[in-house]
Amino acid sequence: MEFLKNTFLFRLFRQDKLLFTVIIIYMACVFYHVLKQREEFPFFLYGMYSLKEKPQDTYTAYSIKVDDTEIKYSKLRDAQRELITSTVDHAAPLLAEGKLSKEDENKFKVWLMNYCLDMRMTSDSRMDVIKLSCNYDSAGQVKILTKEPVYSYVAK
Amino acid sequence: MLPNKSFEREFQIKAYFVYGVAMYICFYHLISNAMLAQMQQPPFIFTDTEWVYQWYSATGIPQFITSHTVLASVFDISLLVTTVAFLLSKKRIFSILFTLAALNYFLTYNLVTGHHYHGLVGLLFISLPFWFKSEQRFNFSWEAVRYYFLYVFSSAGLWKILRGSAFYHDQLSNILKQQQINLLLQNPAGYKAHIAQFLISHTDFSHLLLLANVVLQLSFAIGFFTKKFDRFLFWFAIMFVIANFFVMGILSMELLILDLTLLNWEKVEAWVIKKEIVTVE
Repeated sequence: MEFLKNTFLFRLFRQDKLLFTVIIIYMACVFYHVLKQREEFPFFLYGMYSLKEKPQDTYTAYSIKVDDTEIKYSKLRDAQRELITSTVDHAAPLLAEGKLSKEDENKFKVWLMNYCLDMRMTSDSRMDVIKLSCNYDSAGQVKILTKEPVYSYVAK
Repeated sequence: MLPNKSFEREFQIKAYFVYGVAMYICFYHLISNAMLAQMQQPPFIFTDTEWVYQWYSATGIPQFITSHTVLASVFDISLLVTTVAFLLSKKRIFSILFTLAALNYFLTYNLVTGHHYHGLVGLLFISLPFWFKSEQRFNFSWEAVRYYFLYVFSSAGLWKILRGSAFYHDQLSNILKQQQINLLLQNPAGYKAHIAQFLISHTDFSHLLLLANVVLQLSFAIGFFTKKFDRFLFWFAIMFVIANFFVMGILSMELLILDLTLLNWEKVEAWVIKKEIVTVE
């Protein structure tokens, strides 16, 4: 019982009922989302790659070239790399499946070009986005199986 | 100059550290070309199944901000302005405005990338105690943020056990095949690529590393029962971030702002006064 009296929640309940209520409601909501295994802002779940990752036959990557110079993702900082790779990962399949309107398609191409050019501080004007399908050998070396152009864009 | 009253002094030192790290995080996003005004007016907002993102996207606010560079700049600058105003005036309203500006950045960035990036959560949560004027409520909410940090790590370890991935031999190897594919394609000669290649091909070793990570994450659970080991947990969190950078290629240092809750603030206070970094009235 003495141990319970020293706990954070007990002390909080005794001294600040409003904050106690807010924290208990927050904890209950987090617990509910844990049970549902579904994240909902601001009830974050920190799995940190806890879902089982099965091996895949092929792994997909996107290569972006500006005037034949490939953008090296490893040279970019995380926040910047995320902006490029995540948006391309989302948009490329939509482009390939023709699910974007011509206007949206063009908006995306212009945006990616502008964002990459600003980042590189060059005035290059042609961009190629290429889908790479890869797999791995037993030594952990990645091999490119196929290269498919997603789109090419020339800035006007 | 620091006030003589003990609580106000501690509050102010914590504010300097927290908002100092917060400014460093914002600066990091600035040099990463990832602030709102630097996003070059992104064409899409990737709405999600999460209702807060759906609602925020439906308001049109993120689209409106990112499509107007001047307005986006105002929101970016507001992060700095509210921080400086808070540190100088100690008025809680600026702390609240900072949290709101950070929240707007967090939601907008995640909507633009379509990826729910957790790094900035620490910034949002640790700014909350500074909303409160009373000593008691500040201390309790600061302690609550400490528990939240413990939850972040210990739950990550628990999820891996409950989902069985901790016991899946090829888990880390398979993760790295997807996670590090760009690095291996573009820079195979680099030391980070060598680490990734080694871990992909040596699954026994990578599984051991995964298990070590699970143990490290679970060790944060001890913090729920005692504060005796906080100094170790402080360094464990830093170790995790360093390992995460070399193995996964993810720089999760933004989350480390929550590491400040594990510090012994009496010692920090004594240290800053002894070193004459600040003086007391």
